[in-house]
Amino acid sequence: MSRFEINFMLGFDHITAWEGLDHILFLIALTAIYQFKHWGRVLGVVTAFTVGHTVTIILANTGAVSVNGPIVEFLIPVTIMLTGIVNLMKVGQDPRSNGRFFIAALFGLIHGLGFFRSFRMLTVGDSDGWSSLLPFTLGIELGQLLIVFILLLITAILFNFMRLKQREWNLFSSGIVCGVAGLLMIETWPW
Amino acid sequence: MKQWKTIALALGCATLFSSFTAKHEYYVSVGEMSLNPTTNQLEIGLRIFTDDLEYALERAGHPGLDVLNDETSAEHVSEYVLDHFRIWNEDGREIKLFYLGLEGDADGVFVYLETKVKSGLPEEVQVRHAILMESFPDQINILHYSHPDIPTSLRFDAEEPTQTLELQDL
Repeated sequence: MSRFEINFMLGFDHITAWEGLDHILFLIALTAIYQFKHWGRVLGVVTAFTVGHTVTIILANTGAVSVNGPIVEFLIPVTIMLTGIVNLMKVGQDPRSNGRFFIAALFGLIHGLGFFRSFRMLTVGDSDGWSSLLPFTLGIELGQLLIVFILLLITAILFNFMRLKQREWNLFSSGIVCGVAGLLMIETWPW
Repeated sequence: MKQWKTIALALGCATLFSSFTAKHEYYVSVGEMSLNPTTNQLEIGLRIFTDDLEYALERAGHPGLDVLNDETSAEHVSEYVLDHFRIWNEDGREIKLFYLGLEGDADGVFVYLETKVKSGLPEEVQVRHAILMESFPDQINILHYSHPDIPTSLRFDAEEPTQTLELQDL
């Protein structure tokens, strides 16, 4: 395999594997208000998240920001919890609102600090690390899109065949997400 | 009222869900191997997460070891690494590796190894890279080989901890 393929696969695995559950939870919360017909917005939100975490990977790689592992591990479930709470508020339930792009990019900055530890591992033998960034980020982006596609597929089935309503799905999934995020916050409490 | 039932159901699922959840971990190590054209020996540098290595050593019977600072570190790390990273030639004869040392920080360490063969290296070798796999079932080890013509990368996991690698065109 080539180095590009390996780094692409590691990015993809990073998000789709079971150990990427915290990022998956964030994606569930981020897209809980959408359906297939909002595909343009879904693509935008997922990409805004990628832009956010890529920015911090770049900043951390240049040494502009330093990463405090335990704090990052704690902040990631905080972003998940906050997104779940936004979903419960009326303003957060409008699929046409642009605020969600902002949330995705802003919280993506924090998730990027979490990705950085793995990213640094991949840059072995790649003097400055830049040639590992593109395949790794592409792998993550594609993994994210796959997860979101599966989520939309599941909810489309629930909406059409089980008469589930968007609002009910949103409350249900945001509840799960907030619950797990809360437990992760307790588990990763750094002080 | 219906909303609260939904939320209660969701929280129930969350508790169930989180019993599977651990802190976000990424079980991967990345190493580099190259053929030094002057000495005609293989030089290897393996980057391993420090806490993962210390955990594996703890399981191997060396609890509380500080791999960066303890005096006994070299002995235990070399024993562990040479046991889990091995190379054989085409006939199945092992090519002995030597531990050169370790450097790094609390996040990750580099472990350096090299061969000391006298009669030249074969065209093709079998590499077994099972480091950390006994401690983390999802461990993935990557080895980038800077082949003079075509750089290749190998991916080792619990299902395929041994791979064939073409070292050079003779």
